[in-house]
Amino acid sequence: KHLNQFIAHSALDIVDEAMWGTNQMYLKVVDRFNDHHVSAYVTPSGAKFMLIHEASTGDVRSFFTDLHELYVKVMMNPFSEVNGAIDSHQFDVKVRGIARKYLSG
Amino acid sequence: MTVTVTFLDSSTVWFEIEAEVLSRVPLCGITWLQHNRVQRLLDSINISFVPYKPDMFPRAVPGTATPFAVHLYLVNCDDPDLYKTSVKKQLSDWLAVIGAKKNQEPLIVYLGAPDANRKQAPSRLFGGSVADRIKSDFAKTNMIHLKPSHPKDVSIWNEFFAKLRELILASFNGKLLQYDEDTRRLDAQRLLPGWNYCQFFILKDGAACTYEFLNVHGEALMQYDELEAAFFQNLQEQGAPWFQSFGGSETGDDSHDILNVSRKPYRDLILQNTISIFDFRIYLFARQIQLLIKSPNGVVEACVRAKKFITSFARTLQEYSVGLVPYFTESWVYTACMSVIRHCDENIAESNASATAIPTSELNAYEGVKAELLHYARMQLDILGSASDLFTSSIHKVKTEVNAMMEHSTGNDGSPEEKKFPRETVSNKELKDALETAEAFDSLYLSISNRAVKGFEASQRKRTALLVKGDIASLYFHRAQYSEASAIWEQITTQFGGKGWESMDEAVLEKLVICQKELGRFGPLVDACLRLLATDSVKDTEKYVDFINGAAHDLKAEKNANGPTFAEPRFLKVNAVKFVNRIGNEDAHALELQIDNYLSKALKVQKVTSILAGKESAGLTCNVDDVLLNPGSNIVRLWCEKVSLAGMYVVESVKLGVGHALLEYGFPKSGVRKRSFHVFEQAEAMLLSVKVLPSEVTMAPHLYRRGVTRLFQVELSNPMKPIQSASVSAIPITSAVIPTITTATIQIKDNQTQTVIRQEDTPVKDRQISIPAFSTNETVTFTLPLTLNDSDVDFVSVKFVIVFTTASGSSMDEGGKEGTLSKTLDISAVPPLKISHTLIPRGSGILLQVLVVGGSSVPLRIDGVRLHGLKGFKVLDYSQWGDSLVFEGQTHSLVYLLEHSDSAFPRHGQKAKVVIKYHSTVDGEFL
Repeated sequence: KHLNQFIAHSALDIVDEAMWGTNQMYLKVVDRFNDHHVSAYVTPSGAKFMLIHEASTGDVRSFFTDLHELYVKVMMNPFSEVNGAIDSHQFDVKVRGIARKYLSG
Repeated sequence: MTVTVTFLDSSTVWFEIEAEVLSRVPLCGITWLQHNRVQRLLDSINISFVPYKPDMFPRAVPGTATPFAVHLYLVNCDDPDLYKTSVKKQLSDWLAVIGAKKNQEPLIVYLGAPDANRKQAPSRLFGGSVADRIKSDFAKTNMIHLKPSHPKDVSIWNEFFAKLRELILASFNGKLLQYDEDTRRLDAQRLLPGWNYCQFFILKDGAACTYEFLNVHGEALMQYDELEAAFFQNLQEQGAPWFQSFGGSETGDDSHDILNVSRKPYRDLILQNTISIFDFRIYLFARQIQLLIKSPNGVVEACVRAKKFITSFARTLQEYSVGLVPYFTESWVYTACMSVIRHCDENIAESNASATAIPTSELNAYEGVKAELLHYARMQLDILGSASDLFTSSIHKVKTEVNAMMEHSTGNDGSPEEKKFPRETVSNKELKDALETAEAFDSLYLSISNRAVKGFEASQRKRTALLVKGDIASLYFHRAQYSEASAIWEQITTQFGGKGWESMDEAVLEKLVICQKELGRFGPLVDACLRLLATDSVKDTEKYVDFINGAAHDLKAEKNANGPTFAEPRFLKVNAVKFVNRIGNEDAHALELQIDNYLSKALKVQKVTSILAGKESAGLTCNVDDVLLNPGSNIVRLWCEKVSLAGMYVVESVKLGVGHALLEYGFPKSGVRKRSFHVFEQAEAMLLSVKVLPSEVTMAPHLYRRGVTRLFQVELSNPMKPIQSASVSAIPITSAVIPTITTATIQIKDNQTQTVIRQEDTPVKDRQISIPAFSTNETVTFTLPLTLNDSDVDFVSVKFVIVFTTASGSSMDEGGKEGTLSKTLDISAVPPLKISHTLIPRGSGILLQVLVVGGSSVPLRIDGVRLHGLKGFKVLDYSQWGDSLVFEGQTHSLVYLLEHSDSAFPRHGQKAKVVIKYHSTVDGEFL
């Protein structure tokens, strides 16, 4: 499990680079590590979503788009903190839901 | 790449013109209009001139690109006879060979003699000069007649090269048009049965090479990109029936330079349809990378593509690993990465050597992608190292299925039990050497990792750089070089710790703890353990708490630098519960904290400090040493320093010192936690007041000392708790003495009724006056004499020390507590009345004026005044003064009119005494 964090963490470097080269929020696959691919999505506010997945994993773009919507909903909660950890159970359930919907396996 | 131009020299002209011609190549800045394309500018075309030989052309293989473009026939013969006999024949033979070739352009170059000589040449009747005759004989062939106006005329070369350029471009245009047509035709037949991708490939490959001759790398690359796309499309649609096998089984396949396209006759293999997928993919990739490296600023793109290709092809290799030698994939990936890097580095070095330096931003980007490749190569070392039992990376655990697959493939060799080591199967020499011994492995591992780190740092990828550093650290760790490992991990934890990457922190910290433990560095050990405990998901907390407790114990010996501060680690929760305002000035006020320990083991805390802030920047510090926090809820009482200013105080922060480290818990300004407390001034056990009684005392003669002895009254009242017994000792500090007394009379009054309840004499031992029991609503009064050394002193400082034992008050309080109250009081010792006099003669008598100034804080009632002691004087008249009050500072003058009546007594030198009777209004006592 810690390997995944290492991968995502080092991929942040590439996201930092890539996010300025495009006006798209979805940055596609930014990094590869053995069989793992790292996709990234940067919201206009600078929040970065990272997904570590295998080579072919369904519709990552739609997953991110829906995730962004969920994220915005969380942020609209006046009690949630920007850059704070999201500990909403509902958010968790919904993210799992969209993951089932778009990401195969 | 160079375009080849051949020349057939009929009359040794080349020797003369060679220098002139070669000094003008390569051709630069050529505009090229390709068929159906936009016009473009070619940077340069390199031309090599080679002598013509009839057998120099290779066997024509369809689709193979040829560097030949233009063929020159050099002639300068001006003798028509010679032309007729030999040159003409040679020319037509030459044309027969060249003309048969497709898209090859012949050019006859007639070099005329300079104008100066020409005039002497005889003008022929038949047909004119040789040049004219060639023109007429070979009318369809391109011919250029160079007519220098003088021997050094350079203008002819412009003409010559213009023609040459035109013909070269025409030749290539023709070739490319042909390729275009052929590929389009083949592409259209793609879905027909019998279509062969290899043929298609050869054509495109040819076109790409042709472009390459003109140094149009972008166009050439596009051909390969199209080929690659077509390959995958076909693979999807039809599989790859035209490939014989997967390949990769030849020796050295995993260790050769993959960018070397001449290692195997790839093109021939493709033509013969005998190429393997492995070789084919490598050829395609090598060509792409070669072209990319050559194109301007292409190294970055080359590395990016290389990474993409190598990762994806490595996966393919994994799939086919059954047919390959064990560890083929790892070795191949390693070799491929390293050879791409080597080629790119060479290219960079070349461009740096030449004038065309690469911009810094580009170089930085290149460092980044290069580091990625290095890292990827290094990861192969992880796998190989673990398979060779040389090194098991702790961060990047090699996936077990990879190893399982390896073992499975060795099993195919018929020796399932015998596990083959990578060094037996890998053919890359560098790897083979490295896998022999641990030292060699380490040095390779470290050198590659360090290169990667450098690259990542140059390209601002700090996170990845630290990741690689972590790998280096885990190698050190594996080799038990703990100090090197801990140095790197400490850097990682300080930069990335506590940012929510918990599993990552944990993985690093677990190792770091072991390092510090091995090194016996207790401070950093505590630090690391605390960091580790601060992550939520850590297991084995007991172990780490033990480490902390043990290390903190050892740390006590060395009290040096301050350790790091941790902000609100979550394994403890601190709440302020209450503030205890204590009585007596021995016990301090206390702040009670509730500290919840969520760890499964008791944690020793060396020091707990809390800072409270009051109004007007008044602060209050509470602390306690050596607290054991048991799992669960603990109440910790912190002792407070002396309160200088009472009022509301707000708990600002609580700091827990563990070893060198500090755990800091702030109390937010807003929030639900109770944090403000009313702090009283340190309440005293009882009220002590002293006043000097307005009268003077005449002591027994043996007690007499110089000066004035006054009585002072000591009052003890309002004790916080009932007092069982107490003893009071008074110690004068300034210019006064307390005469020794043996008994003291103690009066106990009820506060409400102000009546004396008890009165008893108690003995005085060692100047300590015993006080009997008294309760909270009683006042104890007694008097003590005090001899002032100097009657003019206004204040006397006396220190009182009261040692008391409390009686049991309520059921909660068992009593019996001892307390001490010590207090230094300044007692006003001004005499109750100050008297001075003046004499004023008046007629025969004298006016005596006595000025009385009130000095007591209590108003004094004057009962009567008497003047006596004067003999021979008669008081004729005097001012009446009696039954009136004198307040402090009030002046009253008494006037006596005296007359000397008896001459027996002298007029002068008599002493008179004024006796003023007064009593204090408060005491009601007559003195």
